[in-house]
Amino acid sequence: MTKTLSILILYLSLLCAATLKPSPVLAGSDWKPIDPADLALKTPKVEKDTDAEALFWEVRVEDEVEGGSPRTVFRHYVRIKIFTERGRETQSKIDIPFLDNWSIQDIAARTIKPDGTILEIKKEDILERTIVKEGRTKIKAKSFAMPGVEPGALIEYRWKEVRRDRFANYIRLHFQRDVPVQVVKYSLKPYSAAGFDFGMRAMTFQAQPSPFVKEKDGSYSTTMTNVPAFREEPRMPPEDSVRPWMLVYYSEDRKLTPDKFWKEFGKENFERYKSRTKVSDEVKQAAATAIGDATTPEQKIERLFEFCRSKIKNTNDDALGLTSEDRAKLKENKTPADTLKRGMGTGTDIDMLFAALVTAAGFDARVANLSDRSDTFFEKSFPDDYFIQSYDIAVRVGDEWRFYDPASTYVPFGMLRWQEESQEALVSDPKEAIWVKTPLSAPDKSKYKRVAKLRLSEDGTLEGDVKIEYYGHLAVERKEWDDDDSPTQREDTLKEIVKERLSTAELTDIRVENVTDPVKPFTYVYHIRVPGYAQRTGKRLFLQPAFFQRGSGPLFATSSRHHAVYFNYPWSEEDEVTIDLPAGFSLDSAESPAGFSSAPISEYKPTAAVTKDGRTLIYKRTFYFGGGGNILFPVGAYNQLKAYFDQLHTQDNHTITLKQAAVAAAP
Amino acid sequence: MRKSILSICFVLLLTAAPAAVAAADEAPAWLHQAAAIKVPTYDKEVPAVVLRNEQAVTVSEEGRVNYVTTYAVRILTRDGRAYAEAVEVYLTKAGKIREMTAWLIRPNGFVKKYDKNETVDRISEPNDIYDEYRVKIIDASDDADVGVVFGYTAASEERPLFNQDVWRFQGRLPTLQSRYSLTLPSGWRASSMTFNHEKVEPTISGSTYAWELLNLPPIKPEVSSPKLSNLAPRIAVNYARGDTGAGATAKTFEDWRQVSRWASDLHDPQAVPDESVTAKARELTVSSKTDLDRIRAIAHFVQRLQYISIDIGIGKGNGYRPHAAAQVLAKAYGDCKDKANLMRSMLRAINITAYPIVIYSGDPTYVREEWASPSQFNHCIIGIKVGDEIQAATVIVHPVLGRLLIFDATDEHTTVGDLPDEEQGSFALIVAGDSGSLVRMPTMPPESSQLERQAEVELSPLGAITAKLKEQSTGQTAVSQRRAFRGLSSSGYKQMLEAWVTRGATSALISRIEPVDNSVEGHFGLDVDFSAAQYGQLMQNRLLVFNPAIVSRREALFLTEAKREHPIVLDSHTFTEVVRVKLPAGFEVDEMPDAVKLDTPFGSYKTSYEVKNGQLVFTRALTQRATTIPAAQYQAIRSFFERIRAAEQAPVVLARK
Repeated sequence: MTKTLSILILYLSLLCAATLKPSPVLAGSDWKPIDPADLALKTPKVEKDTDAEALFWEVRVEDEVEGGSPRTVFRHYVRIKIFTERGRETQSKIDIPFLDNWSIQDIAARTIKPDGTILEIKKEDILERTIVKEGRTKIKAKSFAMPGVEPGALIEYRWKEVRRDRFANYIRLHFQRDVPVQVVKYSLKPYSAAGFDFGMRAMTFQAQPSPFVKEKDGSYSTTMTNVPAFREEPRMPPEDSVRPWMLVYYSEDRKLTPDKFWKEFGKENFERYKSRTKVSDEVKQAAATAIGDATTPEQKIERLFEFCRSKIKNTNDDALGLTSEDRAKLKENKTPADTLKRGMGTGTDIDMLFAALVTAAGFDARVANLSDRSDTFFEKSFPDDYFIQSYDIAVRVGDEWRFYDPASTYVPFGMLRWQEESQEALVSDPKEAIWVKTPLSAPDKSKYKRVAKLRLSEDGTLEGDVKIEYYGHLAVERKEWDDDDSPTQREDTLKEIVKERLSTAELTDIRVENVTDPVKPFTYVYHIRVPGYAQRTGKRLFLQPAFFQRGSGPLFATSSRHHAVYFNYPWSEEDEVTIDLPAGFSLDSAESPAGFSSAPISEYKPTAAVTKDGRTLIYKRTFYFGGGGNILFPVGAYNQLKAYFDQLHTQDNHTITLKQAAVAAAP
Repeated sequence: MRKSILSICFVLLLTAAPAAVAAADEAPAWLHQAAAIKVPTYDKEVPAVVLRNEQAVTVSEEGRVNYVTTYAVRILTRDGRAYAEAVEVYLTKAGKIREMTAWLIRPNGFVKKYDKNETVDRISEPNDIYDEYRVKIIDASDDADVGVVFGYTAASEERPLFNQDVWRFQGRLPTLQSRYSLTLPSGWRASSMTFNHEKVEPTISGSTYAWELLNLPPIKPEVSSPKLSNLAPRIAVNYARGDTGAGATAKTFEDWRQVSRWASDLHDPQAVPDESVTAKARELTVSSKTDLDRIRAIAHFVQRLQYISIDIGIGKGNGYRPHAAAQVLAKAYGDCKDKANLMRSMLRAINITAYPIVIYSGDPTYVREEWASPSQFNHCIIGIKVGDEIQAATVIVHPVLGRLLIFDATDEHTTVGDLPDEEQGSFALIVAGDSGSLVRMPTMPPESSQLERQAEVELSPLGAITAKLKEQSTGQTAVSQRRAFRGLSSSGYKQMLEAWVTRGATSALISRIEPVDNSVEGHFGLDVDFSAAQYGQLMQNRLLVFNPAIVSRREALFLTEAKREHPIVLDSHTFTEVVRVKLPAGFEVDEMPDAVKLDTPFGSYKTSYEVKNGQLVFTRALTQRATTIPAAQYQAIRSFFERIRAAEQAPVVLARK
């Protein structure tokens, strides 16, 4: 089985766990009794105004060995009350996907209509479909439509799912569905046998289900009640940092405290990466050449970093244009010397080479493991390495550890991928558990720098030249987005971005620069013409000088919020807009928009002025957000945050009035 | 949600595909010849060019049909890599793909071959539960780059229901050679019709007919363009025994009456009401006083049954045969023909006659009168025989069947008396045995799809506003509002309205939302109250500037490209708004935008401004007529919408007295 296929199975496990949720053992046609009160229920209990609500959702997970092979058996059972037609629409089509070595058995489903009539699904209405087949691999699904569903009805269905060749190890079991649930119950029955030293464990996140209770059949059950539906919101923390869920896994009962666990893990890592960071004569030579005349530690490390990024091709990089055929032919690099010799390697190879080069230059370099905060927020009180699968290279400079990731092609020197910034990193060490928090780049490291030199016509048309530079994380995102696109696609992306704000804009002479350059800022240069940019009345022209914000909506439109607000990283903006005013028009009102501040988190400084001759308007705007590492805001702060960004939007929409008159007035 | 699961599965499986390692494969001579063709210079946005697109069809005396597809494409840009893909659709029970092989030739001559090990076989539509359509795919896009030539051949067989076929000469890509050949048994004859192109005559050699077009230009995608099916050339072919004009096992049709008879045989037996259908029909109409009430009651019920697409037994004609009405009623779900049939059956149970109508949903210009064929249709609606007392824009008068009220029982948001936009004006077949015929569906006038808005606004001296909006919509405009209201959760609906309001008035706080959906009569009402602290801008404590068009019309056409290749297709609707702004004390109007009045054959627009008793009254009205405007008039239509946009951004200036 390929690694990718294993990942596929894991994904499917998660998908099924997340969507077609689970239940207890029921033999034959046994259904739980229907409470007439449930049938008569007119309004939901957990969340008002919901379209459907699960009355219960039960999943039994049992690991066993059959014919010498491990397998996990899931038994799912869910009962849902339908309140509205939308609830009927969303809940009455069921798909249960599964892989070749899984099987779906014992499907039973029925609808209980409001008058108590029961419609059971017939065997012939359950279809097994091969969703996709390639070579010997298939993904199938059992699919069916619930009969006679209408508002007021209950639907319930259950099935058994057997996943062969693996136990329920490192699977995420969620407590939330797309509809609210009155009672969620998970029953876990671990595999146990003489000589099998691993125990099943469960760790819950964002949830406080009931303590596990041992059932008569040897399983352990936990329940959670009144679980609201999961809702996605823009700029929310990673899903698994807000949803209640449970990680189920096996581990030896080593009785290690977190401190001891991490100490041992760091030690094992230190040993594991020794050969991958081995310093050979070739590596020493390469390090000396790359360092050249650099003298300070920072200079030396930077040169080695740039050497790795510019001289070694990253075969994981999609912009390299390798076909699947080319990738299949690549040889494995076993040592940094191999990577050096071939001039190419995987991201891991490049990081290991960097560690070896830095070590050759006399620094203490280690592999550091850390988590990815786009997945979930890491808690080191959980003694398991499941969440810290990312790694960077830690280099000791003076008294501090600094972190580098030359394998991330576009991340500037001194920064990490945003997903790895502000994370607790475990530096591998033969003796101690060394935890160091990686720094969060300040707002000025990720910047939009925008310049527009424009001319306004009497009819309100604005025309001129624009240059936009992206730095830091902003540049990384743009480069990653564009690097495997054609020049036409890149231009189209720019046109889409601009036309989303300025629907009448006409862009010409477009240049998209430094797309694959690891160091230089990603840059757009173009000529723009925007008919009707300024509004004309009989004697006035109304002009919004914040050219780069014109047409943008407010960042937060909704008045209520369920989840915390999360910005991936701090950022800043620096704009300069000069507009030559049309002849015959002078400023009627040129008040500057008002600046404001919430330092150290954010500050907004706009200024508008005219040249002495009154012919040119100069508008400057600076803005930053996320200063002091403030990128996560609790729900309680939403109104304040929304008001702040609304104020920003209002000031960006500030209008300057030009009047048809002979004399210009300075503001 | 479940659809996305399956989609992810595809992606994952495709990702999991082992990289194929090819070594010195051989491509067939025809592909090398295609690769040697000199390609004209195209616009830089053209991603690929089809070098050869050919289908050879052989019909046996027994009615079995063999297809051989031969296709070659040259990739011109990196975007074009996606075109290095072979896709063949088949029906599991009525056909099969016997062989499918592809090759990729790099500019340096290296050849890579793809066969069954690289062929993905998947369901055609992941979201459809009951569907026999499948596709086989060879995806070479990962291996492709600019300059490569990708080609494939596929051999398949099928037992078609009809002795008819369609050949589309191209998609959006330019196509250098496109050819369809048909080899018939001895003594059989073929005839053809050409659509979207001047007549393509076949060359005939023995019993083989061949239609060919060369050097077809690319078809550029454009906003509000006619559908590709109305732009790309295609032929429709009929074939039959020369002596009898009949097929072997498959059907042939000489005119629409024959199609109607054939379809009636499939529909009529399924519409016989049993006790359960009759009882339900009586229950639903027990308090109805008129036929219109009865029709509405049954329509309302059928529209609310779950839509489940059922494409099973297609090869046996089940794609055209509804399930029995009683069965659909019991399961409470079905597809379009099931719903139309159930409604017909229920109406029959209360002595109202109705006929199924088959139509093409998605392009009102797709069905062509000159080709009598059931395969032109993909949807089923209903025509209900009504008396003179029922007056509606959707009533047509059939020369034999009389007055028919046209209704789509599948579209749960379009009420009796209205018809979905994409069906208006289309040819459709009334399935009524010998009396059936192809007729044109009605087109609704602009005033039947209307949004009327009244806004009462109070403006403070500092620019804050409080506003009360009152909207009433009808027809297809009400449908889009109803779809949002019913399709979103209550919180999602509120968020949508907040996004709409705050787009015009930053930081607006909505204090009341009151939607009123009259789905029986087809009206939708919406009241929204909100306030916004800094709507108007106070300048130097002297001027107060604000835009009286506070919230958008909800739909706008952005024609931003400088040039246009294809006609512009407009639908029909009207919008009117009256905004009454109570002006703040101490201010007077210093300047108002000029009133705008635009009148064109495709629509009209006007605004007005008036100050009276301390109130500014702003009105705007747009009428857009359903029409297709030639590309030559693009600048005129672009200018029309540009002027509307400018008018709606024009501010009013107040000055302190």
